[in-house]
Amino acid sequence: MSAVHLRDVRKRFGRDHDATKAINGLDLTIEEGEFFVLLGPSGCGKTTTLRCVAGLEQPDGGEIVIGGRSVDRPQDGVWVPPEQRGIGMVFQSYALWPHMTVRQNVEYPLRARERAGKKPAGADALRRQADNAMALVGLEAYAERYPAALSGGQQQRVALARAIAAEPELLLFDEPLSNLDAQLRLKLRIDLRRIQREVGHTAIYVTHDQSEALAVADRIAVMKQGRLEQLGTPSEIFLAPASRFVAGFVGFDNFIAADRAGTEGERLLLQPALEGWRPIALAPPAHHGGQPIELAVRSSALKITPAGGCAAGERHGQGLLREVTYTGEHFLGVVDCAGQTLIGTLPPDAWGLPHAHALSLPGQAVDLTLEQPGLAAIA
Amino acid sequence: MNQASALSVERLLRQSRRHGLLLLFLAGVAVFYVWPLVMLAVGAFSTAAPGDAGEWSLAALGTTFASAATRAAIGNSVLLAASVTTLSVTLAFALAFLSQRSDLPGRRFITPAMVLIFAVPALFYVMGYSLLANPYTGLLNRLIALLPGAPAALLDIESWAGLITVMVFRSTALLYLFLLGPMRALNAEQEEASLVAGVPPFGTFLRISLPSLLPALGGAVLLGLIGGLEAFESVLIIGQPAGIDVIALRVFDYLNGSAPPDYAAASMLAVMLVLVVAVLTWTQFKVCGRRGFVSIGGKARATRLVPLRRWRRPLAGLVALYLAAALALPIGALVFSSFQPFPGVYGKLTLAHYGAVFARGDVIDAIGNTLALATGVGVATMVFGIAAAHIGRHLAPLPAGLLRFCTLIPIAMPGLVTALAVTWAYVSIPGLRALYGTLWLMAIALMVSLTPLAAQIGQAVTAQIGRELVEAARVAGRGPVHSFFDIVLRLSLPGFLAGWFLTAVAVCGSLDIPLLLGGAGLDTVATQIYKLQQFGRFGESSALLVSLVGVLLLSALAFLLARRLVRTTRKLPSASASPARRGQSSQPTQTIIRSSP
Repeated sequence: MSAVHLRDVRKRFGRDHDATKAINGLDLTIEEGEFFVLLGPSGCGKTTTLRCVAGLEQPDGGEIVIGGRSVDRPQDGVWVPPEQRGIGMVFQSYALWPHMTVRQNVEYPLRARERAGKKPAGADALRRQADNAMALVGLEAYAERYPAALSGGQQQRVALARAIAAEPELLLFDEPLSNLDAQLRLKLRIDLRRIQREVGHTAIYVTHDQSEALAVADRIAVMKQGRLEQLGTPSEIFLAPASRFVAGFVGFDNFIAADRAGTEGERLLLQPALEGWRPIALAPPAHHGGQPIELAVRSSALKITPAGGCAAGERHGQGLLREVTYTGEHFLGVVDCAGQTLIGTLPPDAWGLPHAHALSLPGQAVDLTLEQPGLAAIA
Repeated sequence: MNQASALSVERLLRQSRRHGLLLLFLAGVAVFYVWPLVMLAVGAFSTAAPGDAGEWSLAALGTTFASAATRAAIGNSVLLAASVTTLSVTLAFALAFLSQRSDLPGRRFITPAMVLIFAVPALFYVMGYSLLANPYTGLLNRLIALLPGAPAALLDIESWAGLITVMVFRSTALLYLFLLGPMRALNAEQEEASLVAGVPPFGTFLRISLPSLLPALGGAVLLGLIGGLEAFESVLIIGQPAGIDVIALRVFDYLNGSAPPDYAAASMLAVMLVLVVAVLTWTQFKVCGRRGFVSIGGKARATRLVPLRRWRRPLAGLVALYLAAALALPIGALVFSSFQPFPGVYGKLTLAHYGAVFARGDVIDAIGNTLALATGVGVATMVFGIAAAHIGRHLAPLPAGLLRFCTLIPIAMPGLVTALAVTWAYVSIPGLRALYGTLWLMAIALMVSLTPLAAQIGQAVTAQIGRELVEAARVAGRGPVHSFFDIVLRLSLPGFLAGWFLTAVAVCGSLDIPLLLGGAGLDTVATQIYKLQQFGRFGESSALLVSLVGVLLLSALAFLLARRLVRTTRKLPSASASPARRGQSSQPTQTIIRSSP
């Protein structure tokens, strides 16, 4: 019922030559009950896409279909206003109405739908529905308070309760956690996913935070400059990025040019274009033709050990340690390797860290080893 | 009909249905604000009175500007505007410097006093002076006469000097409030850099701060000139008896003083005035970046004060004297003469004037009319102002700019011109002709003339309401009109009430529009006060005036008190912004007042 289809959706802001294309021909299908994440850096068009689905922006071309009903088809003059789309939305700033109590905020969509004649429910049913929504987010005790008297996390929950109160077919989230501190974000992320599962609605969620996307999504669409860059499950995106852009966005630190050196069963044998390195076998990139191939390496997948510590057959290459920084979880090393700078991790055991003086280490020759996970071939 | 064109017609219909409400609103705006101005210009080239079929004619162009009286009036207006502006810019700048940048004792009283002088409608202010210093019964003259050897009537307010003095007091208050913001916003670090370089505080002010204030001073000069050219009430009450004629008074005379009224000449002169004021306003916007309005409030910044040293006390005395002459004396004179049995006779004070004035049937009618106008016009104008600002935020830049331009058109139209233009516009439409001679036309003219104020307040108020708050209501299932009432208007309530109060004060104080569009049974309190004064019933006239000001003051106090109570019980954030924006909109609620004095 509530699957969402976007077909060749286009949206530009401004006019004529200084127009910027916010969405540039986007095709997406979001399945019913799916938790779908739009991921990308700011300005990639993800929020504009969400606002088009909500009816808060009008696309210039293409079509948007929600639950089998065409809600946007500008070429035929079709545009369904937001109030008739039957959606729930959580805004980045929560957008709670400061002159209404928590209960009034949560009841507002119910009353609006009742007035519009969609769901004649009666006062009792309405109250019960609001109570249910507030219970689901754990806010029963705060029903009579005004939003200004709530903490950021509580306000976020009110916004969520308001969005789900009228049991909309489709839930939209516009970076709902970006105004919260890190700890609260982790906790609310889990709650959000639980609640979406319980109510079972389709959800579209916009974020620029890759870890948030991985945690909540059934599927992720990575966007870049108004276009779809990659579509896949969290593990596909995280482990096998399709492009350098996606790889960089999901945390790959190093990109090493490589040549095809043959195949090894299903896998591709890649020879890094660095002097003295040995080839490595990886799954082939998603769409590879004749274009050059790169080896994407997370810093966690590049082990830096003291030179001579491992056999020549084990290590992939050698380099010179330039700098060491401590991040709290790892010691990161910057290595000079045949003119290219690489970032890797220093395994504490191999270096006697954290007791050894990390500052005294730079200047040493080191062995470099590549270890899955955290390696991907991209084209 | 082929299929493609059928499709495009269908599409056009859908589009217009989608934008139907919006188009209706924009068309209404055009009719309300552009049509009167167009009809005024058309009327200047027509031989007939509004509503009658006339011929096109350039005759008015010749006769109006060839008339010696009109030429004299134009000359007087220019002279008056120039002299008032010169004096009031100087005074306003000095006072703003003393209150904001010096260590003058009692400097914090200057701003409230200026707000009061500015807020009291011109009519009341001028009447106070008339009672104070007219040559026959003026209080001050009486006091002076008590001194041995003094001449009988030393002061005559009904003179060029008197007129200029009274106008300077009011103009100074306006320009002071206009200069307050720039004076506060001076860059403290630039000044400190100069101080560190070894230049003493006053020298630093002259060399560093003054140059950065030049645009604001330029704006103040233009604002002063506009006010001087538009002057009507002051000249009507204290200039006319001395034979001083000005442009606005000429327009009034063409309509009210000649039989039959010379509509073409009045319109011609009005169009000229609008053109000149429009050019001045446009220049002022260019100079000051749209600071065509005075804003009161805003955050005071800790800037360095210039020590006055041995000038402290003498200057404080001068300022006190100024405030006494500009505020305490006229108000005191009004209150006193309302209890005084006969003008110029000092005996037992009496309440007789109050009894007499409220026993008059026409006064009671006028109170009813004023109440209806203040309520209706205030509410309607403020709802429009907030709606226009709200809609403007959701339009593309070009239509939004046009909408804003339309709401600012009346800035260039003094009340008298608005009244004339509205007459032309409505009498020319057959169905609406019936409005002429009713309270409705007066209400429409007042609405038009108060729109810039309401639109400006609307902008300030809606800017504080996060866009997402409305979007959330739309997503929740409410349509655009309901969302506006549920969210925007409700959250604008404090600003709405403040704006309503300001418009109500302006309606109560407006003399030109009710005088021109009034008639039998169409008096307001202001026209009653004016008429009583013209009949020499000074006691009753001041009793009515004091009562009106009293009621306004009491409602202002009640409003402030109620707002405080609501805030403490509800603990609403005053900005009523969404949480994410709360940090950005740290400015306290601003009250913005129309620039015309």
